[in-house]
Amino acid sequence: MPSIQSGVEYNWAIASNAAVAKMMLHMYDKNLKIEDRLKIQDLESSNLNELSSNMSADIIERSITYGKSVADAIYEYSKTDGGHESYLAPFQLPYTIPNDPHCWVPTGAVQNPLSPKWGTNRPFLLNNITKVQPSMPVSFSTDKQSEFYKEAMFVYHTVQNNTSEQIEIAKYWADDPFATCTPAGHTFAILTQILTEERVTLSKASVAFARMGIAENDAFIACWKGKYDYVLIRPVSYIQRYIDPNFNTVIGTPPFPAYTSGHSCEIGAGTRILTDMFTNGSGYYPFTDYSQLQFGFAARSFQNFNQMAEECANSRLYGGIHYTFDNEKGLQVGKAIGDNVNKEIKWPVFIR
Amino acid sequence: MAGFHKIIILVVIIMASCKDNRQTIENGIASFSDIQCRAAQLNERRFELFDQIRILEADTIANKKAIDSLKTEADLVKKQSLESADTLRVKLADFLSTQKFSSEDRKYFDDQINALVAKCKTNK
Repeated sequence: MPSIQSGVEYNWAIASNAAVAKMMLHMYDKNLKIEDRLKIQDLESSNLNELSSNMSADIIERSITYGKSVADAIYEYSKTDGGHESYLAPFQLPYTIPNDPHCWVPTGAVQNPLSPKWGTNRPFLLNNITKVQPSMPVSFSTDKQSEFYKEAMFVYHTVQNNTSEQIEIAKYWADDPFATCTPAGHTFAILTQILTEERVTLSKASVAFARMGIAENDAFIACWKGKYDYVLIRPVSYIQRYIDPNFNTVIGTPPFPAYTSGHSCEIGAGTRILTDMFTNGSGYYPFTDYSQLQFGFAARSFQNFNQMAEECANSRLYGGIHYTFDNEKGLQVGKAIGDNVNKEIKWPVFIR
Repeated sequence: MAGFHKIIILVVIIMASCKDNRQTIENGIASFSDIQCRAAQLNERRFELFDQIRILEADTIANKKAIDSLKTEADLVKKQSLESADTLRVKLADFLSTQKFSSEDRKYFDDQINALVAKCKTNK
């Protein structure tokens, strides 16, 4: 990591602004439309103007240079993590789907499952991958008396009997990657809102984003490892084969295996970071999530981060796209990862 | 008696201040109600189109023309939705960050904005 010069002044807000802008340009470099590149540059300039008043030119220049050098160094490191430029080929072909009745099959027009090799990426904390992988709680079976069949029937009955509130919850947390800010983006939006409402310092905001970023990154790697270790068939495919060929889900089933739920993993990890940073450990934190107003949803209020995480996980059952055990184990994995990130990294303590 | 008058004056000031905040909230919501409504209606249409496409994708060959047509509209709706989200997010953030609302004010804001979203969805 680049070092700072001793005995000279930096402006850390200016450095952060430069680092974030440079990293955004790096990360999507080969797929960035001109208008999006301009938006990033405009935002960087606008922030810089706001931050630079009464600031000497050499401090500004030094801070920008340092911020960009940090972005460059981190980006160089990221090139060796396995996920580098994954946005250019997210299906990571070739991949052969195992041919077994318990295995995932396409649930729509997309014939290949997404990111089958993501689980081999380098995590920030190795323990997040090696120590939190869950076993399969229910053995696959098509026997009507089996636990697996009952689990599928539970999804079936839930979807048939959803209330309008449950349908709204399924849509609210769907976070379609091509039409919204994605599931992880939703969690980051909640974090950003809380940081703004709490009027925290740049130091605390930086630590919060670092903790959340590491937890989300590792949660998705761990989750995707499990998904392709088990390659479990989605409820919609099982139900249409063995229960009701006319069954339809509330929202579209994403193109990858069921176990465990990606939403549950990521919100589980996120909720442990939020709980550790903003509560005394109880998770009690009454707040309203305004982040989905921009996409035309009503705002949703929660008393507790755990309540929020449970709702997000359950939304996948209401949507008909996950078994209950996908959600429960996903939350368990995510929370374990969040706890690891909180405990295994020495985070600054005395920050406001 | 003087103490009683002070309490009355205090209550009147608090009530006036609450009324002021409520007016500020109503004015704030009114200032972005059009775009909030548009976001809600685009949201409804987006899910309708996804549902229709999913059903037709059971037979992609026979339904190719219909699927292509719906996908063209869905792409447009997604684009419009993301554009309105960009504008709305900034307006909401500006409004919420520049005001100092009590928890009661926040509750009033939540109720008012959610009533607006519900109304927009039923009036599509």
